[in-house]
Amino acid sequence: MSGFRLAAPAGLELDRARPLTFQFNARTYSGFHGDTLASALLASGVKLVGRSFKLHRPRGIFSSGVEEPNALVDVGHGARRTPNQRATLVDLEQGLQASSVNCWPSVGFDIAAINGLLSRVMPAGFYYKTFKWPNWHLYEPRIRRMAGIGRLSGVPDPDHYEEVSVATDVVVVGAGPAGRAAAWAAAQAGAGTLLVAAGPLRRLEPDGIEGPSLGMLKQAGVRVLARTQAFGVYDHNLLCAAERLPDRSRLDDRLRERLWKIRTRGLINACGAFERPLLFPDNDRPGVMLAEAIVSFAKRHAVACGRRVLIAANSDSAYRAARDLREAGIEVAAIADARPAGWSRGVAEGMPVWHEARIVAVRGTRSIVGATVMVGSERRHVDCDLIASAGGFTPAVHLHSQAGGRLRWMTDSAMFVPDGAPTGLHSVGAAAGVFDALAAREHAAATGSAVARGFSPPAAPVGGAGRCLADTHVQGVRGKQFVDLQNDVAASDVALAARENYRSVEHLKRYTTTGMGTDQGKTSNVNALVRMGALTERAPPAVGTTRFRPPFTPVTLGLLVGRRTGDLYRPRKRLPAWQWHNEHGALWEDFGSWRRPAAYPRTGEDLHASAQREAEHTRQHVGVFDGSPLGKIEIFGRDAAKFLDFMYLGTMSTLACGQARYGLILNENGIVVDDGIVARLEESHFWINTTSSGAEHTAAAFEEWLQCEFPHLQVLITPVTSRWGNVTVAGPRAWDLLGSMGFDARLAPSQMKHMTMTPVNWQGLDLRVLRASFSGELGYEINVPVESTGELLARVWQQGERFNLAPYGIEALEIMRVEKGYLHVGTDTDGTTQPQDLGWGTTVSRKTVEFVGRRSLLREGARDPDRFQLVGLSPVDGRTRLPTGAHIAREPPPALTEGHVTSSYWSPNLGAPVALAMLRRGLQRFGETVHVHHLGRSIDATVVRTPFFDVAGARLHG
Amino acid sequence: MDDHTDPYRDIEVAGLSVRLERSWHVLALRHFSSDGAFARACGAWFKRALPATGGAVRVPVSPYAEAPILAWRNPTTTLVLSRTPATIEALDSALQGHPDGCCVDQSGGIQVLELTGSWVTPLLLRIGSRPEVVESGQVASLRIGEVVVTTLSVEPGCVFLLVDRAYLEHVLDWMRVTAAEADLSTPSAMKSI
Repeated sequence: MSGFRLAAPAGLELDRARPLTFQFNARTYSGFHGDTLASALLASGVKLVGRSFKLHRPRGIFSSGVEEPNALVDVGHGARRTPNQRATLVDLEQGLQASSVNCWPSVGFDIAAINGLLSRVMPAGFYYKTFKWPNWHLYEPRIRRMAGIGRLSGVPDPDHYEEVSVATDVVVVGAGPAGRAAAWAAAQAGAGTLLVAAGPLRRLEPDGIEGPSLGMLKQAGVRVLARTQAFGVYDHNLLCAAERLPDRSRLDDRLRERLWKIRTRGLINACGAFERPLLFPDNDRPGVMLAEAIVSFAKRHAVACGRRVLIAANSDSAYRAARDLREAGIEVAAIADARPAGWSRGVAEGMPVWHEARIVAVRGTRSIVGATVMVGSERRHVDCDLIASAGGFTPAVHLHSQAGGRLRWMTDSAMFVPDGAPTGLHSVGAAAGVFDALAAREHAAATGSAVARGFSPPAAPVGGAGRCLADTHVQGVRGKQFVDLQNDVAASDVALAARENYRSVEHLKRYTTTGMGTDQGKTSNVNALVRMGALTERAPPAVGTTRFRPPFTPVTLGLLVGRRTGDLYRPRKRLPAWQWHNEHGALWEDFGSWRRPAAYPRTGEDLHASAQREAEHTRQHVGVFDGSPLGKIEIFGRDAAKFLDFMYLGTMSTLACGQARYGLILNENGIVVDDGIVARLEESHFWINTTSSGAEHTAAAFEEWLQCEFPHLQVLITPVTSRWGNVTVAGPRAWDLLGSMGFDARLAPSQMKHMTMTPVNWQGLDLRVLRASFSGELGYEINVPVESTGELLARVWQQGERFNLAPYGIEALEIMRVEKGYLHVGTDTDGTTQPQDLGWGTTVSRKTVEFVGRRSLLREGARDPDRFQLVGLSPVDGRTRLPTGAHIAREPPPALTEGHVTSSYWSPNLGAPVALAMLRRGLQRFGETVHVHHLGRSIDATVVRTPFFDVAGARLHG
Repeated sequence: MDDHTDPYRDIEVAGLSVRLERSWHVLALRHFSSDGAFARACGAWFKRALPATGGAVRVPVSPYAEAPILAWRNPTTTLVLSRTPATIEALDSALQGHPDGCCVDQSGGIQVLELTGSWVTPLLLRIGSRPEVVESGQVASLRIGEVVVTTLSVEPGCVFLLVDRAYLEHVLDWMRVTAAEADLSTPSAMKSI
């Protein structure tokens, strides 16, 4: 318990007048408003915060920001529990509850810590090599349980999330001195400027900063987004950022985070740099921290992370840190500088400095009590409770890389810096490799001004970080020297990867897992690749870096999901006459994106019974069906017929006005993607029906072909699905009903033939009536202006009482269409089905004009006689319904499949099951008996021709 | 999706009114070129050229009391919005017979939402994919909850959303949920947009 709170005026972000209490691992602690969970724990003397991922080694807080690899905690309780939060980013709130992860029964006594004792037999690749036999899945559940870190609440998240889209001239990410200078200059130049600051506004108050203060920024017109973490740059300068909304504990039901989608013409990356830790044995012990973090905790949060610090140095920044810590009241035991004396330009101001000094041992397991330093050949023992690791810096080039920028290696300072600027993004300050404070501010201001005015910014004056060693690995000592603290990857694991030839940085990452996890290697990547370079005699640029991808920091799924939950999860479409269906007992179900009546069950009926009754009733009397979702497109223009010939398999140019024809739509690969009826209304005006789910896709495909391949054709494509409702009246008494309602006598089946369409006016309503049928019955598809759909249904229903009219839903329609052997694209077909598989081979060969997909139908694979083809199946016993999806095979599984059942129903009109199936060489196997397998059961079925019902098709004609 | 309450009810909260105005009729003027015979006939009828890219305008047409709205939708489509059916019928009749264009009645298929109030801009920035809200005289497409809608304004203080009827409930629900949370948003968060 060596950390303590420093006296005022330390603690720029603290409001000491607002004390808070919180719980960590069920113990109550206190802090102040302005604390993070990490600062409050350190101030309370808590050093052991978690356990490492694989070896369950004790770990403490390592950093003060987004790069934190160790201090992952679960925050909140109940439904608001959020796993794997970095304690360094959790704002302290009254009553906050947090707990350590990846430990049991407690962080102090963790059973799985035995892994640490077995670490010698658990190197990188251990899982891949060990758990292969007999089957990984035998081990997987237990390993996953052990490897998992935080825990989800297991119940829906009650918090809300929203997203906001904004545009501005210039966005500056990062509110350090350079970022503020850039923002201020951009705003002064007249640009709308947004400054995205990860920390609270309080951090921008005058006492705590160099460069323009919050007041100056606001006066210049800069809009500041505080507590907002930019996490990704996407195409066309879209920046995404996550805003943490404060004080969420005040209300039970409120917004928690806000996703900002910011479009800008000038993005300035001022994200700073991460401090790079040094490698030495047991460099992961609680009490080993980044030097800048220790300084930050002291200045911002008035926290002394220890009483006596040993500074492990590989950078001049260590000397500045030493001075700051001494000034804060922390005793500096020594500066153990790994570099030769001539490299250092730091000023020690009387503090002991040892050059070419390496820590070779750390004493203490759960907290540090001392360290051994090798200075030349001399071993020196140091008593300390804190080790500050100052290994140099790694510029935060993530946004630069995400925008497509390249990197270059600075040998002296051992860091990758931006190499030029990708389109629309410029880096300034430490993120650009500029470590001289004055030069950074001047360059940032010049960049902000130039970006605002649309000029090219000046080149970054890279430098100022001093010289440091690239590789700080200590040779010939015992103990693990961790490269990646979060994933327990040690230098020895990198060496193993090198020996096993995983030398590519991408292979190294995946073999050892270095750079993975919530911190994505912010403190480990450079050390890992430098080590690999040293082992394989390559310079770091030759080893390369892994690709930086969004997000820069972890984001909650809730933030990405936003409001797309529950009913808003995806758009669903409502029928125009939904109230009529409600009044008639519709059982609603989702079919594609449409909410439709599956059936209209009567008292005591389930879906199946209702559908059976409706299908039988429609064939015996008359039924009414709402076909409004059917896709509808109007095609107009001089070249409309020519264009439709190209788009359909089936020739449409030969249709006379008023005639309609069924056709298949193929894609470029000859695959059937939709089908429907084309009717010619006038010489250059066609009406198209597509499938309900295919309307938008078909219209888009037509437009694409028209705009990309045939811009010379005069064709206008206008989707009108939502403009027209569709009331379908079908059954042997369909015309009797419509005729009795006063519909034009020209619609009588004796005059209006199947597959014709005619516009009629009925009682003031302009209708388009299509004689077509998906049920196989005499059918009238009455297209009605959408606002009158309910009215027409009501009128049909009112008159229908005399004719024993009943509504039927999708399920009854499915039964009837399978009885007729009618194809349902997407149900009976898949991504391999071509027209010849559906019996359309003759149409393909006879069509003389070009059409989409034709070339693909000439390929060898398309002519393969073993293709799956659509056939009918009847169970041999005449009563067992074949399960939809069941496989057809000669032997019980595992066996080579010969196909599968695509649609299957009990036919109430035949008193027997009917089914459709895709069967290998099906069209040549009529009469053959096949075996249908399902859940260990085998059903014999006969391959039959369709239709099953009304083979001659007489019922279609009334 | 609640199947038993009116999904199209208005949204009225402090600073925001979203009303479904069913009396709007919508006619799509489809044309191959903006200087062809069909477009010229349109111009003659309206006594002005069709709006340029991204433009929307209210055009007085004698003898109709209410001036219809003309809105560019894409290079081959201009929308006409009117609450007077006779306007649409007269225009439709006047434009018949041209081989290089046609009128497609989209009334009922495209529904018109009227948005007014100080909360319109924050609402649209929260639910739409565009970082700007149309100003008077502008029309633009945006996505709301994965649905493409057309947004236009012809006078300050009022924004129209043209929504495919089938998706209307989804879009309204999206607005309803967002508007409900408006009361919970802090004032500073509102100002920051």
